[in-house]
Amino acid sequence: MTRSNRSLNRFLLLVTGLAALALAAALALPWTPWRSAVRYPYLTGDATALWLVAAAAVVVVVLCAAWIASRGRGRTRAALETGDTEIDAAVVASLLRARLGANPDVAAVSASAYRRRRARIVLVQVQTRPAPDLGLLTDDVHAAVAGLHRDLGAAVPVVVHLTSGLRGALSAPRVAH
Amino acid sequence: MNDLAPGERRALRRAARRLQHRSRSAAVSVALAIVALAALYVAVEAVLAALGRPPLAVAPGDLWRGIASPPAEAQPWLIAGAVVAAALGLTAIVLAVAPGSLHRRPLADDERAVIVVDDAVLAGGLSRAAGAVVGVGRGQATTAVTHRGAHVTLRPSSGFRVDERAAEDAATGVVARVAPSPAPRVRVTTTRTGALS
Repeated sequence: MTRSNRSLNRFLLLVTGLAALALAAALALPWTPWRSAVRYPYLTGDATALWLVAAAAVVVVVLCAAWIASRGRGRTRAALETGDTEIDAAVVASLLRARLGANPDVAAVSASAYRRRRARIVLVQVQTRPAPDLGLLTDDVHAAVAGLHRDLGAAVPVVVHLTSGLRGALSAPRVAH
Repeated sequence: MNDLAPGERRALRRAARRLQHRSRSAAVSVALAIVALAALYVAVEAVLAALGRPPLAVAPGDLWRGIASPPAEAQPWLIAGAVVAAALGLTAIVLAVAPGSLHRRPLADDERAVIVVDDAVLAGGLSRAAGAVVGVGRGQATTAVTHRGAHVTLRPSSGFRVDERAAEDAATGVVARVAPSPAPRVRVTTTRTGALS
């Protein structure tokens, strides 16, 4: 949901993975029968070469640190900005929570806002009780969002995530009683 | 006021897609952290060598000579280094190409909101529909949802028969009503051993 570019993430993983494999090959090659296939270039140990290597390594460190530090951007508190009013994502959450209160299968409602490419959307997490009545639940969710738009006077883009328990999907089994 | 702009609708569809797969953000951070540590070490050793000071562990010149033309007997560090690098590299490549599905799917598009549902929630909903129609209790219907299918297992109380067809119709009805995509094909089986209740 954040601004991270997912294709770029996978590309970086691919590149670092290949580089690591190349390093492993370089380390192991002298021990294999293909030793004569590759000639290792002669590196002098003079000062200029060493400073260059150090400078390049520092650049790599800075780039990596910059990337790691840029994770998680894109989340914003304001779900809606009209003119001079800002509406907080928490307000959206409580409005939806009130409208979904009648549904027995809704355990919790929370909301957060994200800004991506100049569009603001609200991600609503609805935690459901086990074995919900899906037809009723989806109808109620759609009605709640329609009511939300009437309350706010604006059509806020909303993504509703119906989840069963822990936020991560790591431990969520795809089997339910 | 009631409709979303086309740009917002696109953003919603994109958001729904992003909810269904891992971003690999964490993996990239770990990979880059490892690269940064290695680069930092190389920088320190290079600077020490350039200043003529003694190295931390091994001077770059000696290290390169050690790699390019190693001594006769096996060097454990080199072997260990190669193994570690290969393992990390393979892991990174696998993570790069694996889909990283989070087992969620979107439901039918509404004008204003997109609903994305965990497969576990979908499974629970199907269990409830199937179980309710044949009259088994809550703990007696289990559903396992895969990408294109849903397998409902009914465990009726001992001595009772269940109408598998009715259960299948009920579950398929739920699928039709909420319209997940992809829509799983429902299959219902009954266990041979019943529950005592």
